[in-house]
Amino acid sequence: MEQNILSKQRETLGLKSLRWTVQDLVIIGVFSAATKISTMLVTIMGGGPNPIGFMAKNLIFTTMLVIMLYRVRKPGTLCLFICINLIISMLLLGASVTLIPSAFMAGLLAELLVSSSGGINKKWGPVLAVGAYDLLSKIFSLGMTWLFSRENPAMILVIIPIVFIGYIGSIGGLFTGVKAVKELEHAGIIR
Amino acid sequence: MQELSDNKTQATNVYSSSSLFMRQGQSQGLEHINTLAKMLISLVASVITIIFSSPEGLLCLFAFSFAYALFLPQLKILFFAYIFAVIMFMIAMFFSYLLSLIIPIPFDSAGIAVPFLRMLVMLNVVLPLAFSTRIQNILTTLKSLRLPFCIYLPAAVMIRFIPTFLYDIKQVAETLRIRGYSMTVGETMRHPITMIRLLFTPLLFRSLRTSEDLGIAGELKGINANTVMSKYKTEAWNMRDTGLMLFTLFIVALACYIEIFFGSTVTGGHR
Repeated sequence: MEQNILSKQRETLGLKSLRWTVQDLVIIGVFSAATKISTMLVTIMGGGPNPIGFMAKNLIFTTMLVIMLYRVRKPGTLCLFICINLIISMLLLGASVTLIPSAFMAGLLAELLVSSSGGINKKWGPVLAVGAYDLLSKIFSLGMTWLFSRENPAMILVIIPIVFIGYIGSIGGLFTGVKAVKELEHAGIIR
Repeated sequence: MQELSDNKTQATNVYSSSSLFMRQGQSQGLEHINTLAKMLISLVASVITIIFSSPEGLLCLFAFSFAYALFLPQLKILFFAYIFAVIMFMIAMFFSYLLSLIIPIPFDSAGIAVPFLRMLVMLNVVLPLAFSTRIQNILTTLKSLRLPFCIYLPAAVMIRFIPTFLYDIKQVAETLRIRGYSMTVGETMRHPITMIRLLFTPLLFRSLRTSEDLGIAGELKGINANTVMSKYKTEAWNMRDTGLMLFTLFIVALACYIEIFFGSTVTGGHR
């Protein structure tokens, strides 16, 4: 009852509901699938591990994430997206459970950063969230890689440039994401 | 006209009768194992491979997981996955060797082999799960995990749409081929941005349209957290699944024993 009154008050004030609607959840699910497929496709088409493939993979992931966050502009969306991706990767694609804390922590910190800087509804809120998440997740995943390859720390030295190349792609993805959002706003798909 | 209608039917049937990455009609040896059992094996493997650090313990896990993977009827997939892993291993060996020339510490191949053994164990348990489980069974298992609605719905949508998007991409690639674009690795390396734009833009618009349509349909059907959803098909847990889980526990115990009592400490060349 109290919740209904609150939501009605929000509606009269013209504020968006903070809870995810079915449509929001569907968007998150569809974008998760599209992200997984497109990054997989880049890996296959790129012919295995190479710098262009790493950059392209990160570029697409970041672009999709920026578009999704502009489409579902609610606090916690980034964490939910990460959570779903990790559950599916863990149960079906064999991703390690150790990835969960690092990715989730990066998502949580990115969300905190965005809410402390004015919230996701600010003009650059989604871009800030994705940018922070990309950077933090790369740092935390390097830590996890150290744990995974602790028998030979020299492998980390090989992995650091790969992660850095991937991060260049992520930065590029922020720009392409913003550009795509502007186009979609112009087309009336994102309001 | 008939062809168009056939294509549409094929697209809609992609999900209902196939596994996550496989089409209808292919024989599946592991199909009769419960999805939850396969998921649990994958989960146990992902945890245990992180804990183990000796080649002996990991070799034990690798041997049994390889035997499990051999039940996969599409051994070609396993073969290609192993070729890919070997190439990765060679690259890692090469760079580690180069580093050992720069940094005056001896080169140790065993130290590099351990992370790859972990990767191979995971490969052996994940491929049977991905290539022998029907999507409907995955969705039913996901439902039985009693996840919150805000996690279950996007996860179900994600699993449901992976084969559809794969099919869409195939269609986009065919269209591009008709228009004269070459979809080869060499062409991708030469014009990466063009290739990304050509493949990615239709996928993005398809995602936006699908989510819009599906979201409206969901709202109109009144789907929410309080909706009681009935299971389309239940997957029974039988004696074979219990036996497989007990055998998995035995293997884990055996590997733990080997790791503790016979495991050699791998220090690597650059510790």
